[in-house]
Amino acid sequence: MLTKRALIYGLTVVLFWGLLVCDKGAEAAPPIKIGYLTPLTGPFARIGADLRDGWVLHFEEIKNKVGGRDVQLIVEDSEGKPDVGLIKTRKLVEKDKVDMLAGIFSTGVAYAVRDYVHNQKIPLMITNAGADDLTKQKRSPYIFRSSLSMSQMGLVEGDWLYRKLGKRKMVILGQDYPGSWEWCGSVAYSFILAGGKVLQELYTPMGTTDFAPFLTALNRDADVVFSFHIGYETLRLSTQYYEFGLYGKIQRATGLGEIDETVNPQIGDYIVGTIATGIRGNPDNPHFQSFYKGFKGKYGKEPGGFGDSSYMGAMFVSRALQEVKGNIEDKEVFLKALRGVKIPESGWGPLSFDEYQHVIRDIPICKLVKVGNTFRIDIIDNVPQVSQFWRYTPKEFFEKVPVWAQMKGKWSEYQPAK
Amino acid sequence: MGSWGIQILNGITLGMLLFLLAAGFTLIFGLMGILNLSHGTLYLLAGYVAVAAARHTNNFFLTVIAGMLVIGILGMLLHQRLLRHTSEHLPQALLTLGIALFFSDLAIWIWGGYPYMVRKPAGFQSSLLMFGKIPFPSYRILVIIIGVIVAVFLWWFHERSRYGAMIRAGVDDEEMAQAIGINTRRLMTLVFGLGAALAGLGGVIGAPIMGVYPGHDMEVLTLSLVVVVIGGMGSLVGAFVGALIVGVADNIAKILLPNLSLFFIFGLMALILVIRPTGLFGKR
Repeated sequence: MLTKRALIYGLTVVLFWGLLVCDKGAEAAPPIKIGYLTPLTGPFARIGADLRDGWVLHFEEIKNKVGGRDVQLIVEDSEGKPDVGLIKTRKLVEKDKVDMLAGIFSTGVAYAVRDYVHNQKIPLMITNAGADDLTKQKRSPYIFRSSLSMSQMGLVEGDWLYRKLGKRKMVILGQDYPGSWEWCGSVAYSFILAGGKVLQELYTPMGTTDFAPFLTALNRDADVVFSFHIGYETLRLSTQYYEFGLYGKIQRATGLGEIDETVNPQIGDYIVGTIATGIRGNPDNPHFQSFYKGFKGKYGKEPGGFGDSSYMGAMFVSRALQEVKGNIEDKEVFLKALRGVKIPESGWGPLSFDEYQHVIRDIPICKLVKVGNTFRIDIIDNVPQVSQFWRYTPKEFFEKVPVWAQMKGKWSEYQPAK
Repeated sequence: MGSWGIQILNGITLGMLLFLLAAGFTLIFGLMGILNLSHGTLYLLAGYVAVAAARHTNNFFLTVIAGMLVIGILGMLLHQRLLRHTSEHLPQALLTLGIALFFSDLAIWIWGGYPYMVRKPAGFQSSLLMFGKIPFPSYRILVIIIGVIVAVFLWWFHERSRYGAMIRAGVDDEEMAQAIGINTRRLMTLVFGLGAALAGLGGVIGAPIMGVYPGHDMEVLTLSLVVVVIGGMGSLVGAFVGALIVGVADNIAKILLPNLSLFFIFGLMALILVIRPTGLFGKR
């Protein structure tokens, strides 16, 4: 007994000694602390983990060192809930004293923490939440976004469906929540602007289990259905779309989440041929190949778009830190460096920020195809260097483009101004 | 038949799934007075059983049998091991809620938080029956047929068979039933098992339409509670009529007032409670 106890005491002392020494070593050059907020429990846990992993991957590639300083990551679980997200953000800022924040999956959380982050002057790199306003009307000099905004995707997609796919009559079938109105609305807007017609708009309440009422009411004169359903609902929608004999009759277009690797192993047969856009690296690009191999090798899963955008955000941040030699404490200089980061070559095309601090990048048009027994997403077209303002300057955009939320349900009557 | 006819058929399909759930719920409540809040979870578990069974067999019939058997036996075990030892309403409701939470978390632990779709039986994948210009999936017709068969069987079982008579005796006066030699304890366990098996049937045949995912248990439980309240606690006919009303109302409300569809159903429930506080066919 005695020897055992002595052994435990000994071990404890040795371990604590180790900790003490380590702490002293680290104190000499305090690490740069980055707080990462992402849902790790709840329905979006899987996506939340992808976001975290993309970020971690980039910083591990550079050995968690920038400009001679260590980078320390503190991950917090937002549970995808706005109130929890805000509490965790305050904890990161006030208790952990992080130098900057990153992450954020849901738009609700992003809006909840926006004012706090703005008032505390903490730089924030949003790596997913796509609500337009975060980098438009509600922009802040401290908030950046490396992922996408809903209408940045939608504007490209609607226009492409008309011009390149020759579609003329569209039905909108979206989830009933603001982010979806933005994506659906911007698809409708650019489709109408190109010359198309929106025949019908259907919005399904969140949590719909049976889409039969909407699929029955769907106008079958359409030649393209644009649908937007995040999360589990897309599995049911696609299955029922097939069940109601719409598959193969009317072309579908969606966001990438509706056809990506999280859904196509299960329902691929019901969605082959669907057109989608979102975040997708070019598989022929060596930069993307090394990212993909790194991600898959380290985590044994596909990066799935979320890992991509988080990795991009991490690239922006690490380059800015490099530029200021790790001196993140001089906030203005760091923000200036971050705004000016240009990444001429990446797996997603050249990356930079617009004056509203939202990413400008290539937008891939993707299509789901079947190869043997598995499914693959092919990039069939690439729309280079699109900003969130599309063809407009910010001023023109705010003057000409209608507010998405106000236009919900009115697209079939919309006449573009000449 | 126009698109409204199809909407009503859609509603009947949903109604039949709700009926399978509500019938077991109402039988259990009628005989034992147990408000079984784990009933939705049994339905969900049957979906997962279907997912597991579908990996080993392509035979949908076997999948249905597996779902009913597993969930039926689980129901009997739950009653015999846990619920039989309680008597008050509140502890029973809490106990069943606990069972619901336990099994839904267990399901997340085993199958993860990710949703599954179950394949439809061969021959029903996308074959469509045309009603005028509008097609209707044949699988949904199959669901309606199964629902009607179960309803007729339950009616016969409850009203005409010897066990049905025993159940009715137990509902009317448990002590008197015991006095004339009915083993009410065993009867209760059997009814609990039957109710669970019905939930299992609903879960398996509902899975190809609705999918199987965490949280689905509470969604269907809420709807089937509304069904039972509208139809009247303890009444099988009430469960059938109530399920049809809720199913059809839910579909029509989704087209007319998509944002208020849940409100519409609860509003309907409130209205019926004002007119008939015991529900349409309830006695107490």
